Order: sequence, then structure tokens, then C-alpha cells
Amino acid sequence: MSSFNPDERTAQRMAGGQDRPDAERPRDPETIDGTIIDDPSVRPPLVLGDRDFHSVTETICGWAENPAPKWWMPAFLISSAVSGIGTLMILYLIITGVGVWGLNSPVMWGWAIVNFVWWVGIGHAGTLISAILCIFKQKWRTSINRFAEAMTIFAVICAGTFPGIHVGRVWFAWMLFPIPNYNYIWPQFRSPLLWDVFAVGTYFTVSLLFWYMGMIPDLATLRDRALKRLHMKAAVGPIEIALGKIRAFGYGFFALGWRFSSRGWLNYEKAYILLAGLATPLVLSVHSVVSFDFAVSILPGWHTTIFPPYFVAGAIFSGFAMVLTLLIPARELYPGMKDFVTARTLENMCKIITLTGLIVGFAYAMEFFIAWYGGNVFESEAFIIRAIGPYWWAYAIMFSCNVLSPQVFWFKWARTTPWFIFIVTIFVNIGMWFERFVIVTTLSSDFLPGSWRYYAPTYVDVLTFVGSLGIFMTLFLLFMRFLPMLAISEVKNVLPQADPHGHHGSESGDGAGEKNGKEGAHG
Amino acid sequence: MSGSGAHNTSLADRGDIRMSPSAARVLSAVLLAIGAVCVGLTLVLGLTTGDKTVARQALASYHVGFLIAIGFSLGAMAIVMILHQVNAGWAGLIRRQFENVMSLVWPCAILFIPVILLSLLGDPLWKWMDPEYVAGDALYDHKKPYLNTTFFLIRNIVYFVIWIWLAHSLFRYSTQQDLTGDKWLTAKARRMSSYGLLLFALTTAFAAFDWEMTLDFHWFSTMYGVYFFAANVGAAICLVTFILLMLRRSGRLADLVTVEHYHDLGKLMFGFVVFWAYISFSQYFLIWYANIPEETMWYQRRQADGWGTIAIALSLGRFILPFILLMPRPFRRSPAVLAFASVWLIGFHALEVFWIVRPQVYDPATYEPIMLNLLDVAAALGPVSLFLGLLVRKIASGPLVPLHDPRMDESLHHKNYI
Amino acid sequence: MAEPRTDAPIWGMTAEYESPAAIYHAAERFRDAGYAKWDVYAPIPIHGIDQAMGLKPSKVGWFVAVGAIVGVSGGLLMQWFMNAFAYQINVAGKPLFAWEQFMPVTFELGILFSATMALLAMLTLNGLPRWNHPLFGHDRFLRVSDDRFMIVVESKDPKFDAEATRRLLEECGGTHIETVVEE
Repeated sequence: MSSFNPDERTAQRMAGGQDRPDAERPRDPETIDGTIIDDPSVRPPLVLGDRDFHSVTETICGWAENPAPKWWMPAFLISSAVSGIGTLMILYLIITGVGVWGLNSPVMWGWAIVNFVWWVGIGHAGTLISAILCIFKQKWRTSINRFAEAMTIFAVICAGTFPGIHVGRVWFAWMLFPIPNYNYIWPQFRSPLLWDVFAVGTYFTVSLLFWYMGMIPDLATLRDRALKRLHMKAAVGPIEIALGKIRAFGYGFFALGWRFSSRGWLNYEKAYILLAGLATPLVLSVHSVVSFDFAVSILPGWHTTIFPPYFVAGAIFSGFAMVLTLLIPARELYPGMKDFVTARTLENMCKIITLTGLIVGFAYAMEFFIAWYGGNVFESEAFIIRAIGPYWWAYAIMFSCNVLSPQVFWFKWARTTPWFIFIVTIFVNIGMWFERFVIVTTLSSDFLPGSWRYYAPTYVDVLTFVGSLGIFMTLFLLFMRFLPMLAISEVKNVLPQADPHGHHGSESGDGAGEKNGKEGAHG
Repeated sequence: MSGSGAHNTSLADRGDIRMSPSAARVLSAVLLAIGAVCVGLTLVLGLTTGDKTVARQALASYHVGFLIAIGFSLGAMAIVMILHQVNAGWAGLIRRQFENVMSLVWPCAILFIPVILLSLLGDPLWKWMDPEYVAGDALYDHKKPYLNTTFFLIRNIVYFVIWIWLAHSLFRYSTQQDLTGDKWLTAKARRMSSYGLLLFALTTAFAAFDWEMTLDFHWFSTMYGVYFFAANVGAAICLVTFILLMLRRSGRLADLVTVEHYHDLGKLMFGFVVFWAYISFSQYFLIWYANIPEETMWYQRRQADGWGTIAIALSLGRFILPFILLMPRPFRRSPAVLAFASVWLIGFHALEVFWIVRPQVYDPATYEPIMLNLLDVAAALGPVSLFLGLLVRKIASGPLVPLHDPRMDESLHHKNYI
Repeated sequence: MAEPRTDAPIWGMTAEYESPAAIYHAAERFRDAGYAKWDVYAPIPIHGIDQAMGLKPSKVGWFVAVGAIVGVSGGLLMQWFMNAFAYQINVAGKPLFAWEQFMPVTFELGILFSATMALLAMLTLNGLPRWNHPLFGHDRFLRVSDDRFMIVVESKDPKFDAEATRRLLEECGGTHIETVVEE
């Protein structure tokens, strides 16, 4: 029997006002926050704290409206500084040439492609959470989809940087577009690198549309709230800024005049589910196309038919890890977020990480088996060199981070303890970076032993990568500051009182009553 | 539409949750008889002529039938475990039919015995089992630690032991719950599904290698296990949709399994049509693009001498047409369309298995362009028909829905709003 | 947000409801009463409200289908033109035109066009963007984006009658029944 009733907190909140710091919240040893329930007859609540529509609006809009938390400005300055370093490195590269990177003759694709694939892969979790889980009607996704979609957009921006700059002479990057260049030469569509341009370009556009469309109603909510605070002003020294008007105009402009009409919602929901339906094959295709970069070649270790689904699983794997890496601190830092991002949400994500980690492990096993079974000496040699050659350490890191580390989530404690999940997700992020590194450094031992060369990055490689992390964090912090971090209307829609039909009770109080009843029945 | 009274009365008291015993007896007898006749015909036509190639043809086509039958079972097993693992609420009413299909793994094991026995005793279906054929083959010598009869037998025993154990346990949890109403059996099934899926993935991948890929033992593809999985799960969904629609026709479950459930089954069907297309295209495309002889030969053989016609028919019938047919929402909600689509897809699934297995027996040097005759049809239909006959008996042997699923309420009220 | 004029003609009449269930049943009454130019405003898309309101299915799907056809055929045509017609060059012995090698880009363009059409169709069918609307001048309307549910009947509706409509709104449990004037 669980000793913990989530509604006590509500009573306290109603009596004492706003969300209390999470540290004071009670924690039940069995059900954590009341959502880890083994009993198959009980559906754990999706939103805790017995919230009504208004308190959902208040909390989520509050994160964007209230003054920034104390940590925000320092974090923003640091990440901007880091992105500044990255920008400098890119400038240095453009001025000097790709020689500033550690590329050498057999390894002509270095960190740039590793970073590109890593970032694109991270982006995929956003689409997976918003699109695929939407199609599968996983309601717990509503508390994380906006967050994850934002991550997608920023990760794809970081990803797109690398192919752009790795060509060396970036002023020729326009040749990638389907327009005739000098001498009326057209781009050639048999190259997987051109497919990448279309895949990543489409992916970015569609993710942006999906993110933006999902945000229109929430922006309208922020607009309507801003209209009530129209006279709010901020003073920077002697200059007075009409903050209220700027906010109302900004949110109002992007809300496009959304009026919450049901006729509008009908088209909106149809368009949303269609976008989800389109984004699902898109997310599979994008990483498949990225895998084609390697797999259509006839290089040992690269040309193998399992690459497309294996890359997709790896992408989802790393993306979920990155969502958790961002979500767990945010959940601690923003008051009230734990009501939406429950222990159950984290647990579900851990399970997906374990699943995709196993799929990746399955792919490693298949690669090894077929490398031997195929009987091609170059292929099997490439895999032996991967495992015990000069880059054995990279392979060891990859394997232990990707296949072994997520196995801890078979234990309930591990997948319900946020700080521990956080550590594992960092390992997964590292492991997935190394997976691409392992694939790329397969080049260092090619067909001719005479031309084998060890590849090592230069400081420019490293700092460019670190800079891309800075760009990502900077954009993400801006998102957390100014936009609705959770999908307000979608979260409202999974509250029990949002259901217009009988069995949850028509009055808003009954939903809580039923929840209590089920809690009581448990155990 | 969901009947308003459906959730008020207990499921167990309803009259329409069991198949009519007499109808089941007749139907299964007919199917079993067809199966027996087909198997008999195969024996007569295939083995009595004394022509080695005809015998091999009979064996290959029988193998096709076996692969179709076990494909249903394995696909259904995957679905059952996935449904448990994700705590699916909507599927309570349809899960039993997947469980019925899944539980027939053991007859498939028996159906497989003739293939193995005839391969061991007579002219083998797997060329690598023929010592004369592989003599001096360097690739075979390399693969010998994996491709030898002893290890092959051990592997197949391991596969079937694992599958029968999984199917039996999961089926038992579900049927015990009918009797006891213990909700914790669902939690047990969920726990079993987690490691069950892991075991399932590994065994089916290697079974796919053993049963299909190593028929041409020079060829290899890392994707093959996924390809096998995608095709079979799709086929199992089609089969179960068809079963439910036929039950509905005979007045069973009419207000329980509603158009809302069919809509979701239609979505799954559509999803697996697309997934199959994705996997098979990726496999074909990477091999096409790299253009390495040791890989292209598999497709080469299947694009020449009339087999290419089947390849084109597959891309149309297994992907493009069902993709268009299942695209509009009203169609996915229409029982008639879904019944047509499921039969259509199962037909093309069978054709695909045939296209994978059968060209391996055909020898371009000695045969007419494509040799497809009554023997192929009879040999493939035999095991499938026996399987379906047993399936009808299985369906009739208990209630058509789980009686005390703890989440049945969700399934009874399931609705698709978008 | 123009100041509402007191002498302006009536644009419509609004009534508030507390919960999705309440407005769902009210919507059924309005549907049965045969109103045409009215709408339910809610902070969430209420499940099944389209049936309660008697709405026809959304047409967004057709636009998306057009986008998909244009994207796929345009993509194939573009690649044929650029690689098999305008600039023919032998790359790795690949054919100048083969469906296999052009599939990735064709697919991506199909998705790109259909996704763009989905958003554009949603906006077009909803008459958006439209930054000015009589309802925005109605103070109580601002709470719809938070937790209120509102039925609005436009005066343009042939069945609109200040008295009868008000009575129906009241009968269905509406509170704060007010009129909104033209902007």
C-alpha cells in the first residue's frame, strides 16, 4: 500500500499559493512521486498535483513570464562565450583551410562528419517523441515533446554547420543547391552527399513547422496573458523599455491570431496528426540517408545493409539520452515541472533507451557475425582492427557506453533515480559520439597497409566541437527563457477533466476522486 | 460503435464471445483435409517421380508453406510481447487472437521436421548440406564452423525451445487470468516480454539466416533478420484482422471489437506495409548501389527469367497499392476494405516468401525460364492449410477475448478521435 | 484592439461554460437547433466536439495529398532533367536515370511539400493569420486561452435572434452571456 497521496500536495498548494520548491516535496519509497505503479489495473496519473487548467497555464507560462531564475544569466553568458570560441575556430578554419584539422590521407573525414552525425542523431529523439509517440497515443509524451522538439531544431542547426564548413571553401557551398553553377553544370543526384542536403534540409524545415505549429496555441495563450500586462515596463539605466507591449506584439505576431475555435482545432488536429505521420517516415529516412553516406560506398566496415535501421535506432538512443540530460536538471530547476515530468516519464524514457541500446547492440553483433560469415577478408579484418587495433579504446568506450551502460535500467532503482539516470545518459551521449568516431576511423586502416595512418584531432577540431555545444546550449537557454517549455494545450488535454464523456466524471473534482480510489485499491 | 451495455455486463456471461463449436469443427476439418490432400499430393507428385530436381522443387515449395505458417506465429508472438511491454490498453479485446496464432509454434516445429529429414536423408534443400556440391568451395570452408549439419540442428532446436516456452508461458498467463481473474498475471506477462523480446530478436534473426539466407550460402546481408521480422509481423497483423472480421461476420464480438479497433489494426497494417518497404528497399538499394558481384547475385537471380516479374509485382502489390488503399481514413475504418487488404497482403506475403526461396532451386542452365506448376501450389498450401485448420480449433477452444484483463475497460471504450 | 464603439452593430453573442463536458452538451443543443455561424471556443481540442457540433471532416488531408504528388513528381522530374537530360555525366557507371538512385531525394521532396502544405492548409482553412478580430475586443474572451469554454453565435447566422439565442444559451447552462460588437 502506498502511503503517499499526491493530492495532499494540492491542498497545501491551494492553501499556501504557488509551487513550492521541489526539495520539500514528499517522496514515497514505493511509488516515488505516485506514478511508478506496477499494478496493471492502475493507470498512473499523467499530471500530478491535481492541477486544473488554470494552474497548468500559470505554471508553464510563468516560466516564460517571470523574471529569469538566478542561474540563467550566468549559464547564458558561459554558453555564449563557448559558442564564441566555436565561431572563432570556424573563422580560423575558413581563413586558413581544412589543414587546421587533423585530417590525413586515409582519414579524410574526421571530426566534422562525426559531429554532424552525432548532432543529427540527437535531433531525432525530438521527432520521435513528438511524432511517433503521438501516433502511438503515448500521452506521457505531452510533457516532454515541446522540449524535445526544441532540442531537435537546435541540434540540427549545429549539425548543419559541419557539412557546411567541412568543404573548406564555404563560399562554394551554394553549389549544393539544385541550380546550375559555372558552365551550366548541374549538381549530381547520384551522390549521397547531395541526398544529405535534401534530407537534412527537409528535416530541419519539417521539424521547424511541426514545432511552430504545435506552439501556435500556446503562443496565443502567452499573447492573451501579455495583453493583461500591457503596461509592464523595464528600465535599463535611463532608457525605459515597454516590455509589456513588446511581449504582446511578439507573441501576438507569431500566434497568427489563433482564437481557440473548435472549427479551427479540427483543422489543426488533422494537420498535426498528418505532420506527425509525415515526420515519422521522415525521421527514419533522414538517418537512413545519413547512413547511406557510409553504406553506399564499397569500403569494408561501411558497406553493410543493416546500416539504415541501425543508424536510426542509434539516433533515437542518443537523442533520448540528450533529452534526459537536459530534462533532469530543468526538472530540478523549474518549480512545478515535476508535476508534469513525472518519475513515470523518466522511467519510460529509460526503457526506450534500453530498447534502442539493445537494438544497437544487436546491430554490432550482426555486423561482426556477417563480417566473419561473409568471408570477405577485408571486411573481417576491418572489424578485427576496430576491436583490437589502434583504436581499440574507442571501440571499448563505444561498446561499454552504448550496450553495457543502459543495461542498468533493468533495475527499477536505476531507472527511477534522476541523478543516476543523468549520469548514464552522459555515458550514452559519449558512447554514441564514439560510435561514429569508430566508423570514421575505420578509414585509417584501408586496403593498403602501406598507407595506414593514425588519425588524431587538433585543438581546432576539439574546440569547434565544444563550440557547437555552446551554440546548442545558448539557443536552448533562450528557448527556456522565452517560449512555453511544455505544450500547454496538450498537457491540459491529458488532464482527467478534459474528457467530455462520462467515465471520468463530468465535474472536475471527480477525476481526482477516481484517482484516489485507484490509489487506495492498490496493494 | 461500442455498445452502451458492453461494459455493464460481465464479459464471461456473454453469448457471443465463443466461436460456434459446430462451425469450428466443420471449418477446421475442411482446412485440415485440404492440408492433408495437398501434402499427399506433394508427396505423390514430388517424391514418386524419382526426378531429383522435382523432389527439390517439392521440398522448396513445402518450405515456403512452412515459412508462411511459422511467420504468422512469430509475428503474432512479437505483437503479443510488444503489447504487454507497452502496457497497451486498447488492444485488450484483440490480444487473444494474436495469442492463438502465437501458440501454434509447436505444430510449426512438427511441420518443419519433414524439411529437415528430407534434407538430411535425401537431396538437401540447403546446398551446403551436400558434401559433393561444396567440395573445394573456399567460401564454404570458411563458413563451415557455422554451416554444418550438427550446429544447424542444435540451433533449430534452441530456437523452437525458446519460442515454444515463450508462447506457452504467455498463453498460459492469459488463459489462467480468464479463470482466476488475477491481475498480476498481466504484470508477469509484461516482465516476461521484456527479456522475451530480446531472446526473440536474436533467435528470429538467426532463424531467418538459417531458413532463408543460407539457402544461398554465398550470399549475406546484415539486414536479413530485420527483413524477416518486418514481413512476418505485417502478415500476422493481416491474419488477425481477417480472423476478427470473419468472427464479426458470424456475429461474434460484434459490439465488442468495434470499428475503432479495426481502425487501429488498419493503421498497424499500413505501418508495416511502409516498414517492410523501407527495410526491403534499403537492403536492395545498398546492394544495387554498391554493385559488388558477391552481393548482387542474390537479386540478379531473382530478377532474371521471369522471377523479375514477381519482383515488380511485389513492389506494386506489397507496397504501392496497399499504401494507396490504406491511406484514406475512411478506408482504414471500413471492414470490407480491411478484409480485402488483409487477404491481399497475405497473398503477396506468400508470393514474397516464394520469390525468396524458390529461385534457389531453379537452375538457369537446365530449366525453362520459370517453372511454376500445381506442385508448387500444393506443396506451399499444405502446411499453411494444416496450420489454419489447427488455428480454427485453437480459436474455438476458448473465449475469443481475455475475460479479466485488468485494462479491458480501456479497450471497451477505445476511440480514435483523429 | 480598437476601442469598442457603443453604437457599433452587434457582431455576436457569447456565453461561458465551466468544463468540456458542459460545453459538449451545449454544443449538441446548438447543432440540433440548426445554427450555422457559431463556434465553440476552448483551450483544448475537445474530443468528439466535431460530432457534437455536427462538423464535417477536415479537408487538410486533400491539400497534403496534392503536396505529396507535386513533391514526388517534381522531385523525380527535377533529377531526370538535371542528371539525365541537361547535364549527362557518367558517375561510377550508374545509369543516367534509374529510380533507385533518385529515391532518397524524391522521397524527401515529397515529405517537404506535403508537410508545408499541411501547415498552409491549416492556416488557410482557419482564415489565419488574422491579427484582428471582434472577439479580441471582448475582455472575457482572453480567458478562453486559459481555462474557460465559450460558445459564440454570430449575428450573421440566419437563426440569430437576440432573445431566442440568449435563452438557448442560458438553457444550456451558459453564464456571463454578453454581446460582442463589430470592431
